[in-house]
Parts: sequence; structure tokens; C-alpha cells
Amino acid sequence: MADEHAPDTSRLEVAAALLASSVIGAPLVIATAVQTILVTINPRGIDVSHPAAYELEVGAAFALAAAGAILAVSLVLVRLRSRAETRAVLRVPYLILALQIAFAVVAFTLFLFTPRG
Amino acid sequence: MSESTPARSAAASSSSAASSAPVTKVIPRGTSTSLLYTIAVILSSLVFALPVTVGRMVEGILDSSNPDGIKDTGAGLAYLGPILGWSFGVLGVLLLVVIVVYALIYRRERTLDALKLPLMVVAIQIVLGVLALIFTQFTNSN
Repeated sequence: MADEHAPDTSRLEVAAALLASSVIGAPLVIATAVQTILVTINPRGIDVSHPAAYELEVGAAFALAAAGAILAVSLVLVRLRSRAETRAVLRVPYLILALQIAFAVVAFTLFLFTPRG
Repeated sequence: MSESTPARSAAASSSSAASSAPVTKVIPRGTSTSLLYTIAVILSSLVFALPVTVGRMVEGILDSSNPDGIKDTGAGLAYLGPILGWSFGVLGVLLLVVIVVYALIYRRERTLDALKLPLMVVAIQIVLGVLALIFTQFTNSN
């Protein structure tokens, strides 16, 4: 039995794995970049030494970027599922995605419940 | 299910006929190499997430128990040493395991084609991690 995928499916597989692996990292980097820009130019003229400075904007940037990343990976997974002969090709991207989301949830929960001050 | 590895399938294709279509080198499913390949990709994808989560865990534990009796545990530098130590320690161990798995795959396959996706994943993770560190450094310096 041939165990080869069409090159197109193979490319989609690579794209799915890469997108799934950066589904949390990329939004985090975008949010950090937004924070750096806002803190540097300080458009509202607030005290940027406070850790919560521009927290809302940074949170919104992270949420938007995460939503975009999840949408992108979902589209690639749907396309991959429709093209692939077997669902086995979806195993690795799904595993990566599940682990990324699990780690993000744990990190965010710990961030929320860590006592400060 | 084919038991051929990418290296073997490449050798078979070269020995058969030049007229046949070019063989796409993929990792066969259901073999031990396939399992190693899955492990390599999964571990590579954790290079960014695992140290961040471990850092948060250590921060949560130390800020809650506050063993040094620091007044303001919300300050950025509170318990920074142990947090960074654990994060980078876990990163180091993870990278060591990743390298061992890569070496095992390479020993079996004798080609870097099998490592293309894991290497791409780990490269993206390292780029993201370095970018996050650079931006954080810029933010903290302001």
C-alpha cells in the first residue's frame, strides 16, 4: 500500500504543524511587541513604570492575534482533512494544538491566581 | 502499511526506474520511526510553551509561599533568579531530549529529510522565544 501523500497534502501538513506550534507563541510575541511600542511612545502619557500600563491594549492585541492564529490553523486543518485520504495526518497538528492550548491555559491560570504585593 | 523508511524508499526509487514519478519522502505511519518523528515534532513545539509555563509555576509557588519574606512579590524582580533558573533549566533539558530524539531519527534514516519538519518547528519556536525576550528587554528598559 502506498504510504505517500500528495505533495500538496504534505505541504498542508507542514503548514498545519507550524501554525499549530506557534498558536500561542506568535500572539505572545505580537502582544509583547505592541506593549514595547506603546510603552516607548506612550501616547496617553501615563506612568509606564507600572506593570499594568497599557494592559487593556496589550490584552486586546494578544486576544486578536490568538483568534487570528486559531482561525488560520483551523482553516488549514479543515483543508487538510478534506484533502487527506486518512485522518492520521491530523494526529500531529491536533496533538500540538492541544498541548499548546493546555500549556497556555495553565500559564494564564497561574498568572491570574498568583498573589501580588 | 509500507514498512519502508524515507531513506529506503529513496534508494528503491533510484534503483527501480528513472521513468517512475518522483517519490515524496514522508515518514511512514505506524512504525517506530513514525513514533519517534511524532515525539520529535511534539517536543520541538514545546520549546517556547514549556519554559514559560514552568516559569509561571515557579513564580506562583514562590510568590504564594514567599520563603524570603519579600514585601512586594508583585515587583518584577521578586524571585527572578529561581524563576529564570527553572525556566532555562527546563529549556536546557528539553533541548537535550530533542537533540537525542533527532539523533535517533537520523541514525535510523540516514537523511535529514526526516528531520525537516521538527527542525522547522524548533526554529520557529526559537525565533519566537528570542523575539519575546528582545521585546521584553526593550519594555523593561523604558
